[in-house]
Amino acid sequence: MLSVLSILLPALSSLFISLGTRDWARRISLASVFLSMILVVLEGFLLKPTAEMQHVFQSAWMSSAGIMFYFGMDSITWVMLLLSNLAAFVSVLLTEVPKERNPKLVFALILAMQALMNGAFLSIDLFVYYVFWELSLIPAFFLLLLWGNGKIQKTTLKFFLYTLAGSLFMLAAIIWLGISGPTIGFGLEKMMGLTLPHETQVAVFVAFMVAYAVKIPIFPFHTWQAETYSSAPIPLTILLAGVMLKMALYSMVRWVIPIVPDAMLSVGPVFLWLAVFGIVYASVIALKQTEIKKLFAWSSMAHVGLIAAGILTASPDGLKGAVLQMLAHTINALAFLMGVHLLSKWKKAGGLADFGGVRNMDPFFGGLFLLFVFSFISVPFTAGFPGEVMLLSSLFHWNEWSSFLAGLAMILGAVYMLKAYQLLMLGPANPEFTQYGAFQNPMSLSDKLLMLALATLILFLGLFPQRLLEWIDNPIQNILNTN
Amino acid sequence: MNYTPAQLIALLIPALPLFGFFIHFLFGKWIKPGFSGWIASFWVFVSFLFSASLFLQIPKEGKQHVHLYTWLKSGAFQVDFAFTIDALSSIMMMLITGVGTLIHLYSIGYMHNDKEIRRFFSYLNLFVFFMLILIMADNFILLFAGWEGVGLCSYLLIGFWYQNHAYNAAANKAFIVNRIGDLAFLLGVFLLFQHTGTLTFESINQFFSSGQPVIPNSSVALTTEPLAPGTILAITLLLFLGATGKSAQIPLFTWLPDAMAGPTPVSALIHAATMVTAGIYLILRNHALFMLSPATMDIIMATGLLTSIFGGLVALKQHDCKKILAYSTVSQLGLMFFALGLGAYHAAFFHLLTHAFFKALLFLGAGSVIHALHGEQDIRRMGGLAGKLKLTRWVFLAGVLAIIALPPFSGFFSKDAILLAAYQKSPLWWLLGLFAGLLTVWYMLRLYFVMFHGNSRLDQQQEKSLHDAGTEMAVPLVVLAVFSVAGGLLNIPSLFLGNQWLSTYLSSVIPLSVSHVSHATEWVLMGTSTLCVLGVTLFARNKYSVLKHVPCEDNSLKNNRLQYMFAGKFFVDEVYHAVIVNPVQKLSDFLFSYIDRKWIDGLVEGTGRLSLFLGSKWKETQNGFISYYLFAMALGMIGILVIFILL
Repeated sequence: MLSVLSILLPALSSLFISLGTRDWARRISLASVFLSMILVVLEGFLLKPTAEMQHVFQSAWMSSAGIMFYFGMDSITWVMLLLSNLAAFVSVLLTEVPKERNPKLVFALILAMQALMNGAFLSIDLFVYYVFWELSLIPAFFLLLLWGNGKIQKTTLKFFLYTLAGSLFMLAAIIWLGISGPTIGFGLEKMMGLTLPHETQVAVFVAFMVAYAVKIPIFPFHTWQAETYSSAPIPLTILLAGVMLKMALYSMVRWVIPIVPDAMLSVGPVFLWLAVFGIVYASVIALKQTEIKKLFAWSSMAHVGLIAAGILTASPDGLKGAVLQMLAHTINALAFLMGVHLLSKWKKAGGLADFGGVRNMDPFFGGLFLLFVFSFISVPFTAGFPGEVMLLSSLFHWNEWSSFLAGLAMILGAVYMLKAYQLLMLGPANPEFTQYGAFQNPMSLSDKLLMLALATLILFLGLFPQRLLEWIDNPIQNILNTN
Repeated sequence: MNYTPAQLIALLIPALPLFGFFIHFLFGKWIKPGFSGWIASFWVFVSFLFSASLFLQIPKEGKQHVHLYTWLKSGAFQVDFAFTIDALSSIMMMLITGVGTLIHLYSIGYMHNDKEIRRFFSYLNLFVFFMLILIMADNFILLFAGWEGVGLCSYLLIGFWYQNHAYNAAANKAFIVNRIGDLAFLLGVFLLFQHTGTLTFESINQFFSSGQPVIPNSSVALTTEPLAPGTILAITLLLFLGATGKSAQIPLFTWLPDAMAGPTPVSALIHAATMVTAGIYLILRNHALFMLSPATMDIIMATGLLTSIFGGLVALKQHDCKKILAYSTVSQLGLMFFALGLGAYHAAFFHLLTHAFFKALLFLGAGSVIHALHGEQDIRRMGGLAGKLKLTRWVFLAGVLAIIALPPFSGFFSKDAILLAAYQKSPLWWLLGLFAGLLTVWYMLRLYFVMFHGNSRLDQQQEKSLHDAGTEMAVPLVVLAVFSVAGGLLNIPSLFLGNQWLSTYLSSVIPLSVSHVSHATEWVLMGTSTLCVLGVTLFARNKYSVLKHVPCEDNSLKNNRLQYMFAGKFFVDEVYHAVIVNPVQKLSDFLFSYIDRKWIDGLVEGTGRLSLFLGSKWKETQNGFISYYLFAMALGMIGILVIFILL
């Protein structure tokens, strides 16, 4: 029952905001995301690290088609819920909409997106999952269209159509899965119990993976990403990079491995090599990017490619590393984008070369941002390291060369991130900032606290990842043992 | 959890510098700048005292193991936050905290004018913490954490003056070049793990000494047959490549000379005495593994020798006193790897220790000069400083005599041990090793004489404000000078009726190797090398002190190809730029604008346009004319009929 609250709370708040007044929009959203966080913590406390689904809610929807509202979570889901609500929290906190740009709508859309993405994580009915998966695109679409910048109409349309087109294959596969087997139905138990012939598995696998490859994205299905990230306002980029792409990664763990384990082993390597190639490809391209958000998009593709590759090894180390790294990547993305957001307060510009000399102005900001950068390039004792090392190790076990190629991102990542840090933060004092005098009070108290909280999370996850790994052990063994 | 007193001490040793870092990080604002260095030094000094007490305990109680918590674990992939302190690590810990304390103290004087002195000391403390983690780690991944951590601090300290973009570039370069080595290191560890199923040094050593897998409750399917020689070769080579990054050997040495952008105490601590010896420590720690691959040992030996000669040749023609010392470090580290490759582990470690003393001394001495001259680093604009900077001159001379291996200074004993080991392998290696040593004699004396002797080439302002090191700087200089002079006492060979104290102490970790050379041969070798050193010393003295020769400007070297190559550092940086950096940048452009934008995205957009085009064509069929629809219907029926008939 608790699980459904995580969907209802933001959904109702969203509705409430759209009915309420403008002045209250931000306050209600803040209260809502805060309560959502508390709810996640509560769910975590009550959760047992066993393999079965907990906090289950089940209610018929279209019983003739075997479709039901069926929600629940295990510890893996909980990690996803945590990162989703954390991202929503930061996203709302950083959202400041001038009155003339319709704050009610913006906040309502953010919360709606949160609710739908939580729904996609929590659904254990494959059809309902699909509904949430697709619906969550809609608030993203409107947020981008109404509130983005640049060549927004074209970018929005491309983002929407591309990800939608990818998902249609998945829909076909889902329906096929629903009607196959002894009974018509979409529940997780039935799906996990299916034993499909190999050819069918391959078809289903490919259909699912096309949808996920677009969303993650895996090379060569990535061309929507950089433009979308750079046009999107930071709170939306946070939701896209922090949560939405994890929906795809999580779905691979939750649905693909248990339903089509054989295809995972036979056709999975194709996608694995694509992911590994994409890591190098994106890292090399990131070297010459001059815009902060585009750099972030490409580096994100490299990082997430590694997670996808780890999942595709279908090994315990790969999956554990992947879950750990999904959380770490969200935290890193939040931290980095938070830094970018603060930079934009100094100056309305998006190029790396437009800044410089920030560290002089604000050593606190400069110092913490450096920690964020180090976590991004997975220096030990930061959040980025434990997951990366486990993923690389699992890849190495699978094939030495894939680990070597993926490991190149360690070097290339250091090249572009340190260069970015140097250009953004270091160098002689920038007279522009002193002239405007903006630096005198660039960060509010909540900004500072948020940065400190993220820094703490980064160090905590870097130093003590073991609790989490133990916690997700049973569900992962369960997923890998279904066949 | 219950810890014994020794274990608690072991935990406190890295914890105290970390604590010092956090004090600065959290309460830095409220610490008086002048006081900051004392706080930072205090923690490191207490760590030193604790290290010393452990050092004394180990012969009696054996090695200490402390398990703090499990950091990362998935199946057999288990990484504990755990330390092992044995003879080898306890000496390293003493070295790090001891030299560390001295350099902290020195920095109080050296950095007293810097506005950000607190940030400086916080980084130094953090460095000591990571370095201790590296040395104390009981497994590869925790060692790697320290390994990357010191790289991180090195980055922070090289780019300490971050307003200068040239320094930032040097810092980035150091980090990135090290990352190349780090990747190799990590892959080597994965390969090792894949075949042994364990990550701790102890089980790995056990594995390689018994040949049996020692895997407690492993879930990894392991090959039971012994490791193929090719696998061991791959593992050791990857680890060695990692070591070349951290210890600045060919091919990854290029970052170290640039790293001199950092404040001079940093160069002394990180880039001479401690961090750069991590690669040597890594091989010492896993000597049982490296011993199994003779090919790797030969490669290590050759790389070390080559780097040593290379560094010496380049140092001959440099003018920046810190650059000379940097290439000298590259060269001396090469000598240590040379010794490792020869299997002379004790000699390598002995040289590591003496080198830490005299090279830290030389850097700090050079720093004292640079400080006195307000940042001047070019030896052509120094000269005649002997009379004015008396203390600095004498301690610097002590360092020089130690590094050129003049008896009875410390460098003599350690280098002699290496040369002896080389002779045992082949007289040719001995000769080449001696040659590398003689290069050292020449460039060090050139450095010394041009700096301290001859005519003064200072400008008036520098002359006026010339001052010798203050107390905070003088004390470390003197202490290090004493160690540089007398460090040889640590391991006096049996030739001089010594008891080889260091080797004996170390033998619990690395077994002693027995020398096959008669004392008579030893005397001849030692005599020959000493005579050569003396000869070169006289030549150098004549050229730079008596004739007062001053190195000429760079462009006049163009006529002499060889000297031009030396002065240009063999243009390795330029070659790397042309062969690696530029092609990768070009590849980036190519991938982005051609492959990605034009082809992949072109295909995506093309699909979109194709569907629009098809849609617009299809739309024309819906034109509203009944006759057209009827015609189409008739056509369709005929088509169906035809198909029926044909089937």
